[in-house]
Amino acid sequence: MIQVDGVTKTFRSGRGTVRALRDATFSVDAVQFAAVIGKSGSGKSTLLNCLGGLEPPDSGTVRCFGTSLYSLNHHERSRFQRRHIGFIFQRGNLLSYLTVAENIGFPLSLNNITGNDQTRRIDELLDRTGLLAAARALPHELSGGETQRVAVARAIAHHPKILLADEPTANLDTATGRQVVRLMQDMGQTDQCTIIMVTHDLEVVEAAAPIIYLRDGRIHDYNNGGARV
Amino acid sequence: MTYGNIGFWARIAWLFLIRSGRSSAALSAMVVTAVAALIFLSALSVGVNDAMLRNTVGLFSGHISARALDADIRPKDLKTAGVRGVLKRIYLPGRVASGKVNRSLMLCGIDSARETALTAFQQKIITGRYPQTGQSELLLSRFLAKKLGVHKDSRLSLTLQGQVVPLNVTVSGIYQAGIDTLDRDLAFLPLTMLAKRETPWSAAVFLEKDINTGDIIEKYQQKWPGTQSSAAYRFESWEARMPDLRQLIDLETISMGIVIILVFAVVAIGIACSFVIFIIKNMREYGIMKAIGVTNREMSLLIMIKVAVMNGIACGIGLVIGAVAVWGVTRAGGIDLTAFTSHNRYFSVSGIIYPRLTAFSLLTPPAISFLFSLVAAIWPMALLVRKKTADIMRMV
Repeated sequence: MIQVDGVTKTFRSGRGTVRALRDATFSVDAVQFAAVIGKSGSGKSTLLNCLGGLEPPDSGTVRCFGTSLYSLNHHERSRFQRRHIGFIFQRGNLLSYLTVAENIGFPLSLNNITGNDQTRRIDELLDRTGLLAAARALPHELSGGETQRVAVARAIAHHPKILLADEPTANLDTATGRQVVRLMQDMGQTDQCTIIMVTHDLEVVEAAAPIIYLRDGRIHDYNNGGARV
Repeated sequence: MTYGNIGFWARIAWLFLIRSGRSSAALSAMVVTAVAALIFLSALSVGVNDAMLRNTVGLFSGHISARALDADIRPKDLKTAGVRGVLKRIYLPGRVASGKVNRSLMLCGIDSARETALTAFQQKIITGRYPQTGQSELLLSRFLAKKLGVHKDSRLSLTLQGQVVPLNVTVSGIYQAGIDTLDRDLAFLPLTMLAKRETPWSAAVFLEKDINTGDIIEKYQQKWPGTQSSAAYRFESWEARMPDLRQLIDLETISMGIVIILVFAVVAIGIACSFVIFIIKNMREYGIMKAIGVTNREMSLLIMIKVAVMNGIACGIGLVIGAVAVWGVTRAGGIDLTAFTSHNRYFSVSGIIYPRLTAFSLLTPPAISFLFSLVAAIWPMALLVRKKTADIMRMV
């Protein structure tokens, strides 16, 4: 279970102080597929970063499966991330100097899954993403859809408990975007993974529960399969 | 503290470097050029030192001078491992007369064939030749010849110390060494003219390259104990005989060391700046890695390995290029700097410099380059470690 309790995050820039998150509180159960929606600048990405351990909040707590993320020191948090969290960004997800197979193998190596186990897992993911033929391709040789499919495979490779996706279909056409989301959902289900995805795609939103609607950094609406909070 | 699997990070660093081929090559080129150039310069510096030694020690005196050796010690007794050759010389006062001109002088008995083989002194004979074994001949300094008013083939009357009847000798040649001690009242004659004398003799000992004079002198002192205590009967190294040359060589070595350090300090700043640019260019990828869970320690290790591998290879290439350049120049006959050395007493024979590789000239530039490159990695490392992942992902 992911529990977010009273998370606040403020940024200071040349344009003044921006309160990106204000007292955000919600929870997502294990193996749920949650969508975070809201207008641009509403704090969606900041929320996802806080959930993924990338952005320490000013106040509040983020607990992932019983572990309070920001009570861990930097080193421990990195170790937690590599073991339990998979991240997919909107763009530029891949390490440009590694092939598709090497990109997928990267988190496996970090988690000491090596040798035949690693090869088997990479082959399985390449097969499931339909990228077997592109295993040795470098990222610049891939299309946008292929890139995001590799990103999904890499994010899920080490069987994380949580998959965080920040508008992974934003730069894709509708059909490709759907493919990528379906892939995420399938893989998430197979690997018993909790997915939290920032999206604007209404079709994705309809399939998600809970749906977290952010406005001006506040949780404006929280719809957990009909039960609104 | 754990860095996980160093082999894995080394592989990632390697893949990064070879798949960022152009950037890696451009960065490496700076190090390759600097290492090769400094190896050549260091070898040139060693070559200059060699030339000064060759011109001074190799002209006449040898690396070790021995004085007042007993007649029962033979030149071959002084020949030991590291000794290229030993020249026997006998010094004796005498008087020489030409017509009404009469002058005291120091005579030096030599074996002209062996002198020719081991010294460059014959290049200083401006007219004529060495006095030949078995002949009654004298090789005079130009100063002495002028004072006596003689020239090559002139006949002189020579009286050796302890002799009553003067000998008739012919001037076989006239020399000018360009060194005060040799250019005054000194004349050479064949050792055969002094054969019957039980005179203590002097030796000029010539060593192989890179042999320490102190080690050889120590051997001699063990063989002939007491040679140290007696001032008249001792071995003297060229360093003791010419402390100014020793200082000059040390000064040159230190200067080269400073040049190497300064050049690599500049190169290190260049490497650091380039790597920071390299990292900023790929900043998002480092952000992704952090998001995947790469720790700061692992990130630092990765940067360190990248810099170390890149510089290791660049240093290796630079070392080969530098060594080949030194070999090529030496094979081509060295660098003739006679125009710049003709008035220098340390270059009295030849101004040709043969760059020479030594452990110092070959290994110091790459070693310092490698060390500085690791120092240069600190800045880009700190830059990445300090940045929060979310900030990185926002900025690019």
